[in-house]
Amino acid sequence: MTWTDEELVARSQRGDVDSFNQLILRWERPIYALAYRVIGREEEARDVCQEAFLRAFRALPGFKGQAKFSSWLYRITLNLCRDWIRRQRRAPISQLPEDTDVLEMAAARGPVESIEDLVARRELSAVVEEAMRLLPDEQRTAIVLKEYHGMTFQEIADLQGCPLSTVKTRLYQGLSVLRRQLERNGQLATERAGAAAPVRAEMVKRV
Amino acid sequence: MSQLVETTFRCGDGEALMTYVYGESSPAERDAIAAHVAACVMCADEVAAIGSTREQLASWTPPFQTLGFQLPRRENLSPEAESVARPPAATATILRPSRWWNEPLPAWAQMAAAVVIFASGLTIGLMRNSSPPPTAAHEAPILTAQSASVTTPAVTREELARLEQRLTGEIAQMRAAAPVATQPPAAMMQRVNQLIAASEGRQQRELEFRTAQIVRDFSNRRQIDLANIEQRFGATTVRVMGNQRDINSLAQRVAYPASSPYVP
Repeated sequence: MTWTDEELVARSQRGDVDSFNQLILRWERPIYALAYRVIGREEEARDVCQEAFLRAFRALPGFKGQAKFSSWLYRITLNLCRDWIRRQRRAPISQLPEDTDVLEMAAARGPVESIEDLVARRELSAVVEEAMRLLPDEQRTAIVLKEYHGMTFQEIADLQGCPLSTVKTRLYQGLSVLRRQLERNGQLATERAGAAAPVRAEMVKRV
Repeated sequence: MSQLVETTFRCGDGEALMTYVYGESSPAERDAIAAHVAACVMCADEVAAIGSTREQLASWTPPFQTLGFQLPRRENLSPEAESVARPPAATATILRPSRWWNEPLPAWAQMAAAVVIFASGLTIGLMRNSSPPPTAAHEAPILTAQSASVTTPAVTREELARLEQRLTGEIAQMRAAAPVATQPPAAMMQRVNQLIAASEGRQQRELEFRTAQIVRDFSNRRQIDLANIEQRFGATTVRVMGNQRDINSLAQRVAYPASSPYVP
């Protein structure tokens, strides 16, 4: 009863809107996640996601199955993200919106882990997000496609329109920056956690 | 020759390291790098660091968003017809999240609202102009009466009554037609499911938030308790050590009386 993407695409091309809606249902989460990780804003990522499906639907007659439907959708999404980033070039995108709640950040996942782990992971999620924002767009996009969407170097090269070696370099450089950044943030976090300790130290000293 | 290139790895070759870390290198290349990493501390460190960075990256989750985009179903809607026959601007609105508050009101409800607004406007107009006699000189279209009523009430009570009757009739008609026009059960069910899912999501987040708060309070409390315990323990230790010192000195005094030359 479950159709493959290709089957759903073929049915959509014959004018079956429900089939396309199934494709949307199947891909909207990954597409939204991709847009969010690349451009870093919730509402805009949502808009990009919607626009991507709209464009895909309109361009459906021209889609001959030369690529996977998902790759094609990713390409449309990345183009939209790139346009958005270009428009926003003057405004820095490197800060979180003011009302971002760290606890909200990872709320989408069910609490199958312990609460301590959950809270820790949410803090880490914010730290990672912050570090990712510091990367140049191409590096960030390459890492997002590799780490969160499991693409091969070749697929990323096709999507980014660059040689294979460039993709690897982008990943390597991006990961190196992230590593330094996360180590630094990790230290900060440890120091912050250690800030609770002086109470104890003081008490011991007083005795 | 190519074999030689493939099986040689030199420190700092980031690209080769990437293919290795992401498992995309050829077997020969992989073996060569693995052998090098096993022997080179620097590269082993680097591989480990990349691994731990990637583990940390896995924790990044985008914030929750209600999506649920859907294309409205239309008769004879084919992508060809859509993209050829319509300018892009017209199609730009066909995708929208099916949130209930974004849905337009049913026609009869819109009409009812319009009537209420219209009638209240008329009433105000009539009351304000009740002292001068209604002129009703021109047969103004009824729908412009609201703006005209500020200066002259352009309608008579009979006309109003007639209008009311007509609108009531129309509303009744639409109301009768409304159940037919409502959505099919499937769409309704889907929307209900979406609402339930959204509500569950909210509750879950609320719960997580509360739990996190409790955990935080609990760990604060625990830290304070620990500090207290440590303080008391410290005090006891100091007392015990003092006692021990006293005992020692007493024992020394017993062992080496004051007259002894061995008093330390």
